[in-house]
Amino acid sequence: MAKINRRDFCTAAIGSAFVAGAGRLSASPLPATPDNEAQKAPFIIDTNVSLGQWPFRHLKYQGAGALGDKLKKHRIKQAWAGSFDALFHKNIDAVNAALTKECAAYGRNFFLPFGTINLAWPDWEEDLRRCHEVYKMKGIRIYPSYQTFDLTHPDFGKFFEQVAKRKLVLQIVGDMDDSRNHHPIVLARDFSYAPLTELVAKTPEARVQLLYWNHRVSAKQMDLFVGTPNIVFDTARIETAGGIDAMLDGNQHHKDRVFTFGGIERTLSEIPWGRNSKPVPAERILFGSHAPYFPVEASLFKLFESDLTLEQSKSIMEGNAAGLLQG
Amino acid sequence: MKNIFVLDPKLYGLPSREEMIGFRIWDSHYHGFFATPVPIKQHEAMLHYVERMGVERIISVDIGGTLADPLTVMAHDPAQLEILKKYQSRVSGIIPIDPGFPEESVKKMDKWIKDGPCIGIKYVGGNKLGVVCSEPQNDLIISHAKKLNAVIYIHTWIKVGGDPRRPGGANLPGESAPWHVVELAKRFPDVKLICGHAGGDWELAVRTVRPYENIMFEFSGADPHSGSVDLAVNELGADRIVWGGHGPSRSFSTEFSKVLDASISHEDRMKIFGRNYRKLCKAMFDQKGWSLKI
Repeated sequence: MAKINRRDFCTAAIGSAFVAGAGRLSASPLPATPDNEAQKAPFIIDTNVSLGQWPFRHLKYQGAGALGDKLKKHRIKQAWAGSFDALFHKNIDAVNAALTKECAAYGRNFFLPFGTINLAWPDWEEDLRRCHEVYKMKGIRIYPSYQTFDLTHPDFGKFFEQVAKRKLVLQIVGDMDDSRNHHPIVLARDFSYAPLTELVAKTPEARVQLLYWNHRVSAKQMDLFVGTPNIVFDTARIETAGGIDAMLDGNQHHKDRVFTFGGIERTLSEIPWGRNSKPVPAERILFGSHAPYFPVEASLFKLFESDLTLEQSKSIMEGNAAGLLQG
Repeated sequence: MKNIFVLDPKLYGLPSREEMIGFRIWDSHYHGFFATPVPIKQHEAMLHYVERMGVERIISVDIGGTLADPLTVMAHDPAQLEILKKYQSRVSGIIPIDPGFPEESVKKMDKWIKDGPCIGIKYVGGNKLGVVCSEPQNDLIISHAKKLNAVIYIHTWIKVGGDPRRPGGANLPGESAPWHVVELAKRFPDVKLICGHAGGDWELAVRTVRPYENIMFEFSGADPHSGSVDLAVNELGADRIVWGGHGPSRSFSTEFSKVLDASISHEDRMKIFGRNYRKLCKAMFDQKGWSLKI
């Protein structure tokens, strides 16, 4: 990282109280920039967005039209979409059909529908077949904490194998929201990702992505997952300052970064916060915003808050997702 | 100023670092010293991200003691004092107090605020005797804070739980909710109180504090929800919102995104990111002889 000169910083911080053109940033079109810089900048595949109706709030960018237009302003070229309706509906096929229709209506293959399966409802195999053969979906997204089954369900192994056999990506949502904020009538269930390690070992062709996984993956569990290459992670709930930095380095042996604060040159060589697990390779992290529930800006800014190389940025923004989809 | 990012944020619909610096961001909820056996080391590491993200000033909420033991002198207290003095132009501090022990809290305020470099107090998320901020013994603390022109930050949360499950039913003993802040605000209508963390549940908290103009609102420490700052600005006005980062347990990106997501003017962003807090502590800066441009 380039050294930051404190005098420059302070002058800019105090002297330029007003910066022209910064109003209504979230609604601004992408600015004109030098062609060479724009050309080398990767586009983004957002692996975690949702359409449909969040049951407890009207969301600001709800629906394919509002969300798609918003995401495009942030250089996102493709979004993998689940449906909020998957959380509670019993007629899962109707949810998947509506999702497919909404994605298609927005056009240009911007939204890829990821249908859902609920193992707690009868005849889930037919729903899976329709997702693959009728709706031509590329992946399945499940929500165990809301859908009242967990990864020890008697059918989960069978489901897992069938998803892999059909060469579909399997996304498993850990949480949708902080449980402290839930509507009082909702008591989402606890579950563990732990059974995945053994299942993936038995099914090496499986492709699994964990979404909003962070409350359910301990440092010990992460160490096991790091050794399981076909499990990947989204960025939606990677927290802590420099959270992606910390994941990449396992919070321990950080590359030295020189910076200046208070007129003193300093070196950051360790991040002494967050979980201490084995380093997670950049190839295992995929951009996923959890929009429109979370602002897309939250995950976007994390790519800048952490001191990523251009190659790491390209992988997380686009390359890893494209690779996962291709299998 | 050189661009320190490998890619241009503006290509991704984000403000550049220069624009972030232009917002004059004051992090009113800096946890650099929090929840670690190595508070000074953690703070030193955090400065990398403070600088990288263009934050103008950090206000530590963990000065003197710890959140768990606000009135206990800790080994790192002298080092914190030194940091506050040496880096006064970039680092400020408010001190955690314990409303279960009002006299001791007032003594701590004299030591760190009247006779020291700190600018305010923090009510933390729970305490040993289970005293929330609305109970009568708080009046001694608030009266003293008023006399000192101290900033008053109150951790609030509305944790769902209990039997039957209800908002606030899982709050810890002594953990205030926004309705407790309201009771306090009624008794001190000329004192500004910051309702911290937007009550954890911003939709309910906004409704709770809406009529009380002396209650300000701060969003840090909770998941980012699209539309949350829009609602707060529409219902409370941009003049009543201050910004906090909550790092290192939260990323600056998470907290920035709440404001950047909002469909508000540049002027309102300036207020939320720093100007409102600067107004809040202007009198304190003046009495300490520190220059402050609002």
